[in-house]
Amino acid sequence: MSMEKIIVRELNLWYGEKQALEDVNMQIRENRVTALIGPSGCGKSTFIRCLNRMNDRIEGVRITGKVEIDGKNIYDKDVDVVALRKRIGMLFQKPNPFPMSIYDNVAYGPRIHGTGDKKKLREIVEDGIRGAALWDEVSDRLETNALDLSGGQQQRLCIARTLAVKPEIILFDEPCSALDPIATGKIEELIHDLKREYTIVIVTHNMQQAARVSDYTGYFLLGEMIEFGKTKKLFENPHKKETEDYITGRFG
Amino acid sequence: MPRKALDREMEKVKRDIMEMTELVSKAVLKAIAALEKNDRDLARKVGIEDDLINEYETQIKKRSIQTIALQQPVAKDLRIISVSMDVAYNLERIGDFARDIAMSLEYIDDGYVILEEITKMGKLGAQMVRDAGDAFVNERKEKIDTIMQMEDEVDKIYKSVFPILKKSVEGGEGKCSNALNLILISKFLERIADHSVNITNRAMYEIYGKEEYL
Repeated sequence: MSMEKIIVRELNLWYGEKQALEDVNMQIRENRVTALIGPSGCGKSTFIRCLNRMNDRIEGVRITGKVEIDGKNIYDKDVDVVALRKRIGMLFQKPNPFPMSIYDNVAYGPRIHGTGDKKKLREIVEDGIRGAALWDEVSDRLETNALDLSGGQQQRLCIARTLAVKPEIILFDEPCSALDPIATGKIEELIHDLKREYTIVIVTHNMQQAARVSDYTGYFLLGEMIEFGKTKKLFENPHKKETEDYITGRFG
Repeated sequence: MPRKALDREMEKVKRDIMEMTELVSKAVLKAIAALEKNDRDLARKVGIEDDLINEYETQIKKRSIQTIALQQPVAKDLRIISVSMDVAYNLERIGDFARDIAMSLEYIDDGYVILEEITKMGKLGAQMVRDAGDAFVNERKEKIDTIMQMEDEVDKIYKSVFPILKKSVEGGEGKCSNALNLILISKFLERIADHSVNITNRAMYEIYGKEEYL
């Protein structure tokens, strides 16, 4: 039985006057994949960005409520946001490798966090690339520019870059929407493997993807979390009519 | 945002199940009528019509698989499609029993006496099939009670028929082979009731989304 890694309590968020999240409560379990689904503008990306305080950087944002990670509210004044974000990796819709070599992309994080030893660094880079299921494809060309990789490889490189700083949680915000089905399949397989060591939260527009990769699913609508539960249950027999309408494609 | 293609497929599958239910229910009645009247032509007709029932099952399963592959239904939609395959399977099995009952006539000598109880079981079975199909197609949850009452009645009759026929076999009253065939027929009828309960069970899963065996 896994434990709760993240507990969200009464979370509200406003962009200026507009409320984007309303009283969201959620328990995210350790070593499980939690998917967030819902129509565009429902607040799911806003929500996931609350989990590593990415919204702090947006002007006019006001947040109330708590996000507790391992029991500590990350919105407490004494929280070091840089240290927090080291614990929580994030992947985005569009792969965003740095314009440098494959090796340097993965080594970037450990270097800025103080790993200077070359042998140690090489081990971290290899572990990261292997962990992202990319090693067999790039091991003989680590010095080539990361931008020469395919979209799917670039996304896995970004995962490798995330793994290299040894996070505890990985947030995926629409990680496959710019990828073809084969690259998508590889990322999904990877997410499945990664949950052994990490707690994963994924935002996706693709409901079949949520059904395939996640253990728990939350359905958001107009800033509220309408339903949260085991993915198997939610896709077989959802509790709320709003959820049924959305997942069966009869929404709107 | 309606899902017209998926809705069309589900309507078609349900229409097919309704037609199949009608065929199977009639097959049971015809098999019993053939026995009652010693009508061997009617018995053969039941055998021939069983091919059509089998074809319905094949087509419903094929269509359901295609719908899952092409439309990716979830939640209630998925339950409807997956349950339709279970229902088609159970109807096909009932069709086989109807055929077997009708075919028994070939092994029964003229001059046999069909017990009134067997006729009653047949009529109850046919009604159970019809009600179970209706429970699935039209989501009639109120049908459970009547179906379960009929199931109890069929079981009761089956238990009462068996000793009578057993006595015939042991006592050498009439033709022993006739009594043995009637024992088999009553068993087939009891199985028809069981498969109707299976269909009802799947209909309840379709409606409520929970596995609760009746």
